[in-house]
Amino acid sequence: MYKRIALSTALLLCLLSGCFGPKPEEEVYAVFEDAVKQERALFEEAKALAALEQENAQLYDSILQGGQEDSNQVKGTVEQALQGLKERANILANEQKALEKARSKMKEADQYIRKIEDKKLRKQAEKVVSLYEERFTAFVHMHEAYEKALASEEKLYGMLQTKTEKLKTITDQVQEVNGLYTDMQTHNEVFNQLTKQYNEEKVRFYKQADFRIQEQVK
Amino acid sequence: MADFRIPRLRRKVKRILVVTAGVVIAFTGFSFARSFSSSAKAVSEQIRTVQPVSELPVPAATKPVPEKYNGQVRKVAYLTFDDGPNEYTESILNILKSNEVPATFFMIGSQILSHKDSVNRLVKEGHYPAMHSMTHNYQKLYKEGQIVNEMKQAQDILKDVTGIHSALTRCPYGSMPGLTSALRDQMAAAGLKEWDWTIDSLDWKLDHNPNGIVQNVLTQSNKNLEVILLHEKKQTVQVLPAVIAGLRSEGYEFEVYDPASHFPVNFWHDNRL
Repeated sequence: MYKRIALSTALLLCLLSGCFGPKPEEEVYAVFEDAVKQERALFEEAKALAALEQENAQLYDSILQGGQEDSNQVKGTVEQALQGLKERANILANEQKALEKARSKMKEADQYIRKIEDKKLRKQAEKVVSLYEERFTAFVHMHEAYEKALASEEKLYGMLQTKTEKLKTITDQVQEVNGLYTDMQTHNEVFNQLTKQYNEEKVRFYKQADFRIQEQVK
Repeated sequence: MADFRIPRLRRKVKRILVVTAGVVIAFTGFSFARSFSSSAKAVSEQIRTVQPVSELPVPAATKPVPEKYNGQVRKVAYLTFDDGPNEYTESILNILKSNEVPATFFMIGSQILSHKDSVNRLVKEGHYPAMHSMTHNYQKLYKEGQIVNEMKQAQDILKDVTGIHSALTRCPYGSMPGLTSALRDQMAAAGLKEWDWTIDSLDWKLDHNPNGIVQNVLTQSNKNLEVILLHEKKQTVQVLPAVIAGLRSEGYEFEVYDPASHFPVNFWHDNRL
């Protein structure tokens, strides 16, 4: 008797919970959008970085201008430029931290994606996750390349402070710095390309899941 | 007997009632829940905001190389090769590549057509393609005044082969004395630029004394900017590594012609060209 009551109650609860709980694709949506929030800082950090890059270009120009005869004339400006390099390194580290947070959030999606019954929809969700991972890797590569460029630039400012440094050595260093930034730009473009793809495929996933969506523009 | 039957019947009825109620509740609950959350229609009614993740701006600026710093001035050499492209172009390109030296090539129009691969390689490897007429014939170019026509023909061929619209020319035998004032007017009107040289290596006549080419270049190089005349010849290929090494040891850096920062190098000091 009690056995039966317990059984029907269990059946009932199971049915109810199964039907009331959100569908796996809705859980996936929540995770995806949560991950975006985790990396929201990135946008602001990027703006600060761009401003410092611009400032750096101006400082460099005035160092070349003012140091033509004697580099002692531009010691202060060189110091300022070196300080800017440190700030840029910090910003890059912050960017990576934000992305790492977002990435660990994204990992939570796997458990829900596995439960998506529609095979095509599941495949699309998997695609979104793997694009996100690729994008993260692209950022790490870009960050590494950027750090190399910053280190080389630091060396350059050291040379610009040294009265006895040969102009040829300085020139070679400028060319190395430029080469390293070009390398970094390539990684940066890959990152942007993957960002674009990720955003598009995510929207495609939502549409396949029959969500009514409203896209926010940055 | 009857006393026992009644409670048993009641129990049976009770049991049936409980099970029925259970089934009914479960069914109601199920349909209730379905209508709520799991139909696609219901899902589509909720508007969900989608936030894109952000891209990162690509910093564009490259740092200029200092021309002068701490009282020191930069020494720049432009290697320029005339009369190609020909069977020596590939060897020259190989040497330039292994030494990481960019150069400027003044080429004969008809030869561009027969050496398309070399010309495209040259462009791909960062060298600059420029014109050196169609016939290299003094009479036709200067006496008959065909220089601008020939340069424009070569310009079109170069454009067809490489996609590059080059405005840089080098007059065969140099612009002095052949390129008279009237011809210079025509050149300027056609938007053409003329580069002569600051050092003549005389490589064209030193085929039996290639080391003389190296000596010629290194003894004459004393200015901060030198444009060095070379030709696509066998003896030039032979001594090119030594010319490059020698200039480097004198502190020269190598540059390639850049139309964005053109400066005049002509014997007439005509700043239009």
